[in-house]
Amino acid sequence: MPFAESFERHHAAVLGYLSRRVGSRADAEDLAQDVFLRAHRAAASYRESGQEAAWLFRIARNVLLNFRRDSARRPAPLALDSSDAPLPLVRPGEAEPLDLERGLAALPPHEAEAFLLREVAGLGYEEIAAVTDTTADAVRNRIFRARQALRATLGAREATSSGRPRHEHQVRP
Amino acid sequence: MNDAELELLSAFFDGRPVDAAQLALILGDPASLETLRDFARLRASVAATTPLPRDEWVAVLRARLAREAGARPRGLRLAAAAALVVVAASLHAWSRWQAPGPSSAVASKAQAGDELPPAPSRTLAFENGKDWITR
Repeated sequence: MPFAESFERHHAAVLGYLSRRVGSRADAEDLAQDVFLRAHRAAASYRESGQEAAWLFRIARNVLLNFRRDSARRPAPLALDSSDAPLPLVRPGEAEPLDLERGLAALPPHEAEAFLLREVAGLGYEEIAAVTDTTADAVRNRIFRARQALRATLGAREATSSGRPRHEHQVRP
Repeated sequence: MNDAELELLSAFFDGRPVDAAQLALILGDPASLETLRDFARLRASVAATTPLPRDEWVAVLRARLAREAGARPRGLRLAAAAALVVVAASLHAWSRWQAPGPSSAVASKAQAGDELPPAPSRTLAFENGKDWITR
């Protein structure tokens, strides 16, 4: 399959996923570009296995790990560009902001990763398992735990804004 | 609802196969519908706040990938040409080594005649006390 088709099919998901992981559009665009250039150079060695998305997101994961490692070594740069502004946290059509970003940041990294690969990238459990070197059962559990934690954040906000008590949800300790 | 039930709902929400009887039991609890509603709201919130690609970024990357695609065959052609040169040079060296040259001719002659000694051109008899140096 021509690589251009892969790019057209996956570029929005890859960029969205990386934006969520790094919290900056400018960094995410650089990283996504890196992902597609690497994928393009490695495309000859990719064998059709029906896991094209998993293959791409595995590259994205490696690029992200390298970025995090490099970022940890250098001092944080100043944001000089408006395109580097934090991602919007306000849900369209609603007055109250959903503090999704903060909720995601508070999650254990492997739970946030599985949740975003599911919700942003749209990968299935087996694909996520292939990307993150784990099992589909572990992915199912990670996604569930992430949802529960984020749901608790959502519930706390709603309870604060409306004054209405919500059903008690059992969340992990 | 306990964690196992909530996890089953989460998997069901993702379209995973789950136990139908167990699911029916869980859905009998009004809290399960609220859970599903919250999962759906979370999904909608993630989708609504995840940035979409800018047209300019997509165009730049498309052009970059197209350039890379053009560069790759050129690189392959160069690599193929280099491989041909190496193969041709190796074949040439091998054929030279195989062809009988002057040194190999001497060696073959020596091999053919080494069963008989060369015929003597003259014969000298040793005489005791004779001065062989000053003549």
